Amino acid sequence: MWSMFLFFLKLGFLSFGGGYALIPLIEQEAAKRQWMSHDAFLDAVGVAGMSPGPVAVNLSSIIGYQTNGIGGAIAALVGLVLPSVLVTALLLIVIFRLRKKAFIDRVFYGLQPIVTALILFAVYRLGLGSLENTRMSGQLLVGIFIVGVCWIMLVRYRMHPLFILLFSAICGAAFLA
Amino acid sequence: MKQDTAPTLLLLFWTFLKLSPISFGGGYAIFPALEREIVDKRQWMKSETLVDTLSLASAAPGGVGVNAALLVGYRLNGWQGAVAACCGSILPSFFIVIALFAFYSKIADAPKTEAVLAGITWGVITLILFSALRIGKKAIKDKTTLFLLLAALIGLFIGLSPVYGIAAGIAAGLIFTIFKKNVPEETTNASAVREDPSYMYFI
Repeated sequence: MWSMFLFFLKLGFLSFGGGYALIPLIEQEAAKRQWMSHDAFLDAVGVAGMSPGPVAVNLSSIIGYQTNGIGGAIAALVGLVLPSVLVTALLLIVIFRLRKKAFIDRVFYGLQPIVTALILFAVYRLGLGSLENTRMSGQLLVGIFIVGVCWIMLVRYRMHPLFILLFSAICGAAFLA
Repeated sequence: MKQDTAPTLLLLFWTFLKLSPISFGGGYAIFPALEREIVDKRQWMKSETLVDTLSLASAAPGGVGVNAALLVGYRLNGWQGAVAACCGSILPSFFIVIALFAFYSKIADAPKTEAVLAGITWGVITLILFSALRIGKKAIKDKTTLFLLLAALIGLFIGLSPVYGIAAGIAAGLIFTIFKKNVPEETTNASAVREDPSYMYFI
């Protein structure tokens, strides 16, 4: 359990932007240390992806749970989250100490377009990920319909995001089954 | 700007606890709900401040949702606030993922389950698009920033790691702004910022 904690602690330093990049690394390690079979790992990735929260964090909880029960799940989770929380906290202190608004403005000037690109790319990846199998064009149409209606609900009528998810779940059950 | 009364730790914890279950597909999807809750309903922060905080959260290492909780919690209530918000944002998804995995064999083959999740994905895509629009509106100030956005998109599509994009963005921001007399400020809150330059220190 300690070695698993250390492994996720190491990974935690690499987890930029949600951590899709970590999945192959976790897969290698899981195979090497025989934490779980390949099939079980694919199931775990599926569950991690469908659950709320960052994929890599979810995956680490599952692997910890599978190998060492709830204690293992907590160890893996803390191991993965702690480094990025500490680095983010360090970033905070640096910005806090700088106390130069002009400098921060300049950093933000360059950073915000990149962040926008990151978010747009997340949209692309999610959309592509949900289009598998043969009925792709049909699914894409339903997808565009859902996005269109949800956009109107969100922007025009300022409805709560929970309703957006509820509506899209119902549409999914109705059209995508 | 600092609000008159800092929210209690419990309320901060509860706010993020409520938001966490909708953070499907990474943390970007909670941004719209976060804005409703923190800016519109509780009025803990100005919209501008929140957008700045969230773009910082997206650029920092780690899950975006966790970072957002950390930074918002810190701004509102210091280190204790950061810890409270962080715990609130992690706990629900932790239990949901464990429970789902435990029951996975029972629900895996149900086509309805898959269909519902596929539907939710498109809803989540809408929420994330909305977040991109909110941050993008503030980010794209001129041709330089538009160029940075497009360059970063191309980089991501050809498989470059986001880390390089973030580093390049910070470098570009520092270099390009030397040649500009003054960085174009957001028109909406330029005066507010000048009145209260201290707000940045509470990031």
